[in-house]
Amino acid sequence: MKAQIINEPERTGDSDFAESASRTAICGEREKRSFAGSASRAAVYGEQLTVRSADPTRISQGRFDTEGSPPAPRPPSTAASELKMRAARVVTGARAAIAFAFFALLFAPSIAQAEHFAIQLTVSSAADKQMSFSDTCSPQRPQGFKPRPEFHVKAGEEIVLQYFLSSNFPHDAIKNVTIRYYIVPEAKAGQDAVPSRDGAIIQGHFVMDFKPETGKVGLRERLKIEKKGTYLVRVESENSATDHEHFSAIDLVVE
Amino acid sequence: MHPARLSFIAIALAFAFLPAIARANHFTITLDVSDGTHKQTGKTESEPPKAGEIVVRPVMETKAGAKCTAKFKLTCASKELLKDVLVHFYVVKIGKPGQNPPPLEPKDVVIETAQTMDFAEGTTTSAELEFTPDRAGIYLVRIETQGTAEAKGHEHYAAIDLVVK
Repeated sequence: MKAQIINEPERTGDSDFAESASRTAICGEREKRSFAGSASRAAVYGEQLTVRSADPTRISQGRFDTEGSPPAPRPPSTAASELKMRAARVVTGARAAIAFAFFALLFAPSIAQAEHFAIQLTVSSAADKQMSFSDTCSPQRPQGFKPRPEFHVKAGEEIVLQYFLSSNFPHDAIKNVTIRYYIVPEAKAGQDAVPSRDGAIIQGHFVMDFKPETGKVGLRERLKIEKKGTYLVRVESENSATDHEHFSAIDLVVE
Repeated sequence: MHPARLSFIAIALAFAFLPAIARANHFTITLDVSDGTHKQTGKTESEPPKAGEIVVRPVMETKAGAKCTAKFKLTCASKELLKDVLVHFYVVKIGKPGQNPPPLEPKDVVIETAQTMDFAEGTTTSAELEFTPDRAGIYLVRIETQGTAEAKGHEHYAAIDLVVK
């Protein structure tokens, strides 16, 4: 499909759009990589914790040396020093368990919530642009987990809203998904509450099926905002038949 | 009637109706544009147009800076699965009413969307999109399919001319 558009010599706008779509795919990959990176970092942290917890005992007792090497001779110890060493072992073990539990809890939501959509949201002016990627939201946490990037423009300046949303769910088509976007005034940048869409400057939605891994939708729109203030720019999925939805958002400050 | 003559008539009839069968619409498209006070609807057309057909685009008038809403719904009527169809929608400034779709220069495009989907019979997609043409002039509002011409020989679209004063 992309090739067809690109091959049409006259449709420069199309080819730009299609080119951006391929960039989205790349960004999706980047997101996957960073997600994989987080998981591997968790494993690394786990390893380091294991090593840290093992090291002191290995040094103090010489019991956990690798098999085959002769056990180090135990230094002569009194009952008090034996007790101290046991206490140190218990404390170190408990610390390792707490740290492991902490990291397990930290990474569990991202592992349990499979990513279904990769999103690349861009707001740009003639001079600058800001991008945001996919985040997940649930009824308990509608504002997601990532901090929102901020973008500043002047009142009345032309801006371009652009987003690409593609399915990276490999197993099945996701049917009748609503993809909604809007720009709505908000009280302050970074606020947790998602404002009502009633006062939206601009909004719209698509209802469509996403085929596995290749289904996608993109939009580019030129607009001007005359009134100064802070606005939430947000694109989000609805009815994607999971316990969470995906979105991407930017705080737009009109000065 | 002689059997040879009968078979000749049957073949002639088949040839007569073949283009109509071949040019059956694989998609039904409705396109509505409104600005709160005016409304216009575009219906399914095919490209290239049927022989001898002159397509006249419906026209809607609005004011510069008025918030307009475009709604489209596209339903597949093809018995076969149509894979990787691009549903392309745009609003672009043109020189005069009825002009062919121009190259989509970013500076002239108010809004452009693209969706990639597989369409089985009865599959639909729809959208409701707000846009604001801020300069006076003529704009083409068009929803079209891309990627079915190779298999079916033509594409489908619906279009409206928006006159912004």
